[in-house]
Amino acid sequence: MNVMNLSTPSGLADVLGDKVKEYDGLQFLLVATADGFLVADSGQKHLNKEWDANRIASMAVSFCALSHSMADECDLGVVQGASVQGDNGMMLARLILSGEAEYVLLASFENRINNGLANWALQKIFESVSDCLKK
Amino acid sequence: MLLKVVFAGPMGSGKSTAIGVLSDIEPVATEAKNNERFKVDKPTTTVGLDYGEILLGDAGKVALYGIPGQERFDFMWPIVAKGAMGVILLLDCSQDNYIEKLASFADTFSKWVDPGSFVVALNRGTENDLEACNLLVEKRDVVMPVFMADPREKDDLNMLLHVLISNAEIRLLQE
Repeated sequence: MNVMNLSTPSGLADVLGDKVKEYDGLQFLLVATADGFLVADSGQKHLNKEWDANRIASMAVSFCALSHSMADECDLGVVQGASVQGDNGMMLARLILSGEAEYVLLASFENRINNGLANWALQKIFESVSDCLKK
Repeated sequence: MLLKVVFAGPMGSGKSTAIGVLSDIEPVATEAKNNERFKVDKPTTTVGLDYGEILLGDAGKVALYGIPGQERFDFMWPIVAKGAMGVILLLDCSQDNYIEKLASFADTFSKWVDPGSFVVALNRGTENDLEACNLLVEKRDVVMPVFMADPREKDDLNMLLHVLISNAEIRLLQE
């Protein structure tokens, strides 16, 4: 259970909400601190099943951290993100460095969205979220 | 031979430190900036897992796994615990409600690992802490030895591993 009361950077929830509306096939977005606390999320109502955004945030952070460790182990160089592909869609995660703070951005796309489109959308969302977090 | 040992316990109990001290390889770590310094004052915290190895030459190796101790990462616990021959449950007695943590971690990890394969290690404890933990363990009707141990001390950690492996051997002989 997350009990810490993190302050959400001003406007971040709006940015995520706008992006979910803007990009076709984007199911949800969330931003978490690098130690697994949810900062903001949007779009979960598009999913059929109930979800716990706090839990997904912690999972996204673990997933990102393991991906970074694995890439380090395999000498892949600097890692920008990681992806999960399933029959029903795809999730992309990106690490965001903002000053001294680190965040993880997670985006979930429907299966009709191809990798190229999803990665392009993620890059645009990453830029907007990074700008918002710097403010 | 590959033996898998899991270090469990709450955040700040010394799991990453213990694996770093014991491991013969560069440990795999998944550290992130800790935003809960009001709870445990350390700069980073494990968010995925820790991994290290004790190399036993031709005899194989002991794989050392550490969990992230916060409950929000409990989805990692069964993943890490799967196939473990034993659990070293680390507790820092200077933390609030460490006794409750002993009970909750023992209950939780007993779902995946035989509760007779646990060793409890108390850091920064007193004789009273030791007694309180022994009392709690006795009520559980399992062999769960409780020791004072410093996760920075290799001798302490080796002792815990020896006890864990010896208990496993005894159980195998009894089966």
